[in-house]
Amino acid sequence: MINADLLISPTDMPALFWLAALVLVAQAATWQWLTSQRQTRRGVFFGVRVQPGFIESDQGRVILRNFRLRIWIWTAILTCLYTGMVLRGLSDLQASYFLLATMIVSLVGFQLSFWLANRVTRFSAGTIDAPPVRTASLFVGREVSRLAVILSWLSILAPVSLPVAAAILLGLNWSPTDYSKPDLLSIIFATLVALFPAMVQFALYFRARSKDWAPTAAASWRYRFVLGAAQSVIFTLIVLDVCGLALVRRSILFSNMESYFHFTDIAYIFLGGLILAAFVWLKNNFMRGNVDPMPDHYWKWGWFYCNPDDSALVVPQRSGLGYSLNYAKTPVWLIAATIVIAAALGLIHFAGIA
Amino acid sequence: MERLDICLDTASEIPAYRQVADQLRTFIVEGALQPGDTLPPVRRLAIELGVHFNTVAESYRLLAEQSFLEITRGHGARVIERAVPAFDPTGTEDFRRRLRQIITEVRARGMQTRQIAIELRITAASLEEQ
Repeated sequence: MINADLLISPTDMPALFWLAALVLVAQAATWQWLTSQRQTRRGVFFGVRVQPGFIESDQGRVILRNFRLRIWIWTAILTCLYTGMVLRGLSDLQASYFLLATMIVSLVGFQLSFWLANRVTRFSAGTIDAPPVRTASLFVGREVSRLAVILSWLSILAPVSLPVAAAILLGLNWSPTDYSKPDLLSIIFATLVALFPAMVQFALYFRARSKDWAPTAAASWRYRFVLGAAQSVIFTLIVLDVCGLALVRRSILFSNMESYFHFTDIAYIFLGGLILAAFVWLKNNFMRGNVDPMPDHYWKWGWFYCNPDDSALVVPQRSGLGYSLNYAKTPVWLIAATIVIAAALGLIHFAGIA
Repeated sequence: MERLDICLDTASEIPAYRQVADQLRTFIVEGALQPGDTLPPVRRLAIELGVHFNTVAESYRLLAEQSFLEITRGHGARVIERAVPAFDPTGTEDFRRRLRQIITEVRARGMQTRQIAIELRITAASLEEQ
């Protein structure tokens, strides 16, 4: 039997928990960056379409300053709470759970703060109507190359194929604490975790409005591919981590646990760099000056797109990086349910290890 | 690769399927879409325009009825060669009446007669080039 704490974190991990506080600060810094005036796109401020000049006006500055103040105060409170709990002597495993919970609570706080800024903006700026004209581009000839379509399908299928391949090649084990083979719960958990980015990527490539992302079909596909792939990398890493433990115990790729953890540390740093590069690329390639054709009331709380009349399953976030699924569509709830079930299974799985 | 834009005015009284069909017909008659060109799948164009896919399907059906398109299962909609029917001389009066209707409509929206005359001259010049 393997010590569960060692599985979750090797002996050198406690030092990394101090860095966890930095994760919380980085989270707040990212939100500050995303909502900065320079990042505000398409005349949309905290999810509300505003008159030109409102963002630079005194009212706009006050709303932005108050939002930032709220997220930093919230981060300071949570960081103090987190470090205080670690100092009181949490085990490594408890500290990882606590960090995860703190990050979720922090994001919920940010979301509430965003919603508050959205309400204040709507009240003080007043909404302006969406332009009535929508356009679509017909590209006579092929819209995107055949290679692009093949690459899209490969990136959709890649993460899902990992847990399936692991189950087929290594066999299944019913015990969650014997890591000689992946257990069924791990494989279901990993498959669901992989299905989420796969379904989002399918929506991004085949159920998204090309013009929302870039002026030409090819540029739009490139943008959506990078966005989907950046998200997929994060989820694939989780899948690899779940399936990888079986490889360690069978000495297929790694001779011992230490080398496995060193490998994953390097992989996390390398892929973290890749994702950062992808974000910078996305930031620089987002189409500026495009007009969001949909009225404000389709954006619930300024963040969640909900339009039953729109065939698109995914649209870009109104004011910057990222995307929102169209929550008025049934398939989107299937995508959302996948990640919720995966999270629930993950909790059961890790609780089993502990 | 040529890019053609279809515009849909959601505030217009003209139904969306008619707007799409009218613009596609213009592309075909003007030669921007040639016989053999395939149109995007119904679902993709519907996503692009933010409308239900039945709206786009209806416009494709309308053009197929008017012999501009051929819709085959599994291959989508394709522009086809259309034999131009002999023009009925009595149709000229109908054309004038519809033109006057359009001019009245844009004048009612505030367009100046001088501007209308310029637009008509530009259209006439491009017709003579064809």
